[in-house]
Amino acid sequence: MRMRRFMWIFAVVALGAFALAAVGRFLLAWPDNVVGMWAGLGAGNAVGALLFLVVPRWWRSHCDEMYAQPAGQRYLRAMWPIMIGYALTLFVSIWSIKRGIESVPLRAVVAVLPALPIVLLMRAALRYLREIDELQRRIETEAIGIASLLLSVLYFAGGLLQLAKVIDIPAGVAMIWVFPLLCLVYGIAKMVLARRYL
Amino acid sequence: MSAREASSLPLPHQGLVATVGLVAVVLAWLGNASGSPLPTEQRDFAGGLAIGMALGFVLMLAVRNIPMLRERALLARSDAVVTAAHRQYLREFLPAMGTYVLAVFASLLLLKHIDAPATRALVALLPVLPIGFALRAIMRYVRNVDEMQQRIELESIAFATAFVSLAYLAGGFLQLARVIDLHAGTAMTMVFPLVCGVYGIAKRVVARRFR
Repeated sequence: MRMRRFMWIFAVVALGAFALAAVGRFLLAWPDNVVGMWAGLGAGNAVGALLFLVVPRWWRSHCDEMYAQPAGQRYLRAMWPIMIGYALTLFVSIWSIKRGIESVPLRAVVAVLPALPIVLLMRAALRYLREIDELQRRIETEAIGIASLLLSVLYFAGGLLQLAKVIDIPAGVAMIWVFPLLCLVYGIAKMVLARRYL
Repeated sequence: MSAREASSLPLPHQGLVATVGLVAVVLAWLGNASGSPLPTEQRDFAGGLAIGMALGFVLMLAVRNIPMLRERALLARSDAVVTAAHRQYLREFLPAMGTYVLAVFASLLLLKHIDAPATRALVALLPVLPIGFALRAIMRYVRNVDEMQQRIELESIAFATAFVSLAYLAGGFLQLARVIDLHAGTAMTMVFPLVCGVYGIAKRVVARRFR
């Protein structure tokens, strides 16, 4: 039920962004990059909504159950503002750095800004971890452990290939992707573990 | 564990210490002496090995002889009940790490003579294999220890992972903003050692809270 609501929120945001892009393109003659930005936002949210459709039903009902618990509700309530804050700070940070900041310390502060909401997110996640029951905690921590080990090996292998000049990935991209990849592998590991334990 | 054993740190085999020390001295000579038979571009390698080994010796002497560190080591030793799981872990982990060291050397030496990208990739990935075995040993250990220890291990790993991924996120933003300039290969290979290091520190904190 809750998952269904998330899906609709994503779908509505996607439609809104597409509508803005269309209005900007055909009625208000916005510059191409602004139209592109809104279209991109719409596409991202549409993909998000579609992902909810792809997940198996047992997983969806399991998530609904988890989020119905007090700990899950608290986690969700903490997460929404944090994720919106993350999106906004990321936007502001990229925009102002693209405009160019001369002073290096100031640029450093502005660049690190989007990492702050992630600190809050992790704090909320750790609190959630402490509030759930034993079995759930076991699933969560084991999934994080598996994700951590897999990703460490993946990055180690990638680093060796990079050092041997077989691949050439920019350092900044490689570093930023640690966290999203970790979340992805964690999610998959959690699905497998939950299937086994529950 | 008897009282005598608990009050003293185990002494490594003296012959082993002497041999390793001798190797370190020879390497230092090869790397830095003006009469070294090595060509100039290979001296850094030997010199670096010698420095690494010297650091290891300093660390060992420090743990054995500085009272504060010594007490800590003794405490950790008497604290940890050496279980079957732990023994099995060491039996699997140590050979894996030994093979890893050899694989790194082999890979570095071979890479100098290989140009074909596919073969280069294969040879470069050589050290990943023993690391895979080390990870299997870690996973098995976590599976086998008792409930309480398991919780400590898993929470420490979770914390270490969260911390390192956060640091990398911040570092990546700084890199894209051209505030720092790290080498991509170094940044990527350091994920695993960093997770291990933070895990070790986190484990002390978490274990203290549980006892």
